[in-house]
Amino acid sequence: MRTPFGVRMTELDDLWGAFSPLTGQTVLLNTEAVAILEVLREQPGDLAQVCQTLAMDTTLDATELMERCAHAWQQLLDSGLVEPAQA
Amino acid sequence: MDNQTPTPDDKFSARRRLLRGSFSVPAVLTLASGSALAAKSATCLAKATNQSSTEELTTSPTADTFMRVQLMARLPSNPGGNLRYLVTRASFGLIPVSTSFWPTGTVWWRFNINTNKLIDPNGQRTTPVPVDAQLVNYWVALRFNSAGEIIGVGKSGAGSVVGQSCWNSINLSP
Repeated sequence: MRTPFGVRMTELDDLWGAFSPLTGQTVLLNTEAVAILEVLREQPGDLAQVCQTLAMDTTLDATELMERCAHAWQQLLDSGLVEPAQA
Repeated sequence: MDNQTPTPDDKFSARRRLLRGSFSVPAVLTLASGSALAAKSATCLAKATNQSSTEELTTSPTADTFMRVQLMARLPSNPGGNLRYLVTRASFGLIPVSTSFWPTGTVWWRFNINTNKLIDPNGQRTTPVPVDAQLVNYWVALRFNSAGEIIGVGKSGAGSVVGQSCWNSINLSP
């Protein structure tokens, strides 16, 4: 999985606005969701790989992070901010 | 996040923030497209419902621009009797309806075209719409509250009539 070409991000105080060229929509993200996209920008991968990377930034382990991120991961897919890497 | 443009200076800024605190649940909040228009239109709804108002029945869907639903009618039970009119829950479609006005389970409601009111309380029905009921050439105006819920039809209930254009502009979903 990866962040698609053309995704635009802008910081809005505590939140971030993210435009997806795949859906033509803008969504609001919190810092944790943007961190997921930042990891994917550097290295495409699945949720487990992303959480392993994020675990190095936080006090949580990768398993717990996966539980916390699973729902948002699907939302990021649905909103076109994450796509299959081969797409 | 655009892989095709130069990396911004705030690279990894979100991850840097995480280093300063705990990792809460990631959130993806959907914004309605044209939210500015929606905000403006919400004002239009607020203005429209500021004072209670209604409209008389019309015999044409294009007689005015208010939100209306079409009545149905049944043949009289006795020869020479009058048609019996009704409003159906289905005629409201996906528009939200306040249960304080239209109780859950009510399928149709008898309507008096002379008073422009629901026949209350005896006209309320939870049974299927009668098979002999047919759409007729009467349209009754809906009345809304500021939340966009139907809280009246004709002169029944409360709320205010709302223009079709105002409704269309707040109802951004397909």
